[in-house]
Amino acid sequence: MQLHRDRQRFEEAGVRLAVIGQGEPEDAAAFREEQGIALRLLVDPDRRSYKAAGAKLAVFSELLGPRLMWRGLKRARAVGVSQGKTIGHPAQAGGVLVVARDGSIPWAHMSRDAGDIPSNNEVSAAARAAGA
Amino acid sequence: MGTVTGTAKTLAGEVRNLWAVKGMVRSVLQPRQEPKPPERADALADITLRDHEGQRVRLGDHWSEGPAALVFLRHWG
Repeated sequence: MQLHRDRQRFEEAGVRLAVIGQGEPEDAAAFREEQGIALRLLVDPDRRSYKAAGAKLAVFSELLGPRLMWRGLKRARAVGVSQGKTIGHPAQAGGVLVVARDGSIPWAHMSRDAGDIPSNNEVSAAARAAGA
Repeated sequence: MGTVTGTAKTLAGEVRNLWAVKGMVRSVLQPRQEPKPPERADALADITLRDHEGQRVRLGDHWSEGPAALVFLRHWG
C-alpha cells in the first residue's frame, strides 16, 4: 500500500492521515498484518463516512471493465499488493478528501471507477497547500 | 506472471463470494452515479469510527490542529 510507504512525507508536512475501509476492526487488523502496514486503519461498516464524503456506488463497467483490470494489474505489480477478498459493499467506490483546519475541503478526488485513484504526490501537495 | 496468477485466484474467490456476485449483478442494473464531494467536512466531523484495534476515533479530531487527508478505500488490498 503506497500510503504506508509515503506516510513519512505526510507526517513531515504536518498532514494527518485517516485511512478508512469497510468491514470490521478484525478485517483491518488482518490486512495490516498481511501487508506489514504500520498505519492506523479505521473501519466504517455502515459506510456513513463514505456517504458523507460523496463517494459513489460504481456500476459493473466501472468495476470490472478490461481497461480497469489492466490498470489494476499494473498497479498491483508496482506496489506488490494484490486484491484480497471483497469485504462490505462490492460496488462502493473510494476517494480522497483533503480537509483544512477550518473544516473546508480545498481538494477532493472521489473515484469515478475502480481504477480512478489519485497519486500520493497529488494528495500530499494538496494537503500541504491546505496547511500553508 | 505471479500477479496474473494472483489476480486469477482473486477473481475465482470473488465468484465464490456470493455477496460480491450479488452486488456486482445489482450494479449492472443501477444507473451510473457521479461522486459528490462536499465543500465542507461538517457532516464528517462528528462521525466516530473504530480503528483496527477497536478503539473509537472521531474523524473531526484529524483536522482539529492542521490539515488532514481522508482516504476512503474501496476495499482492503
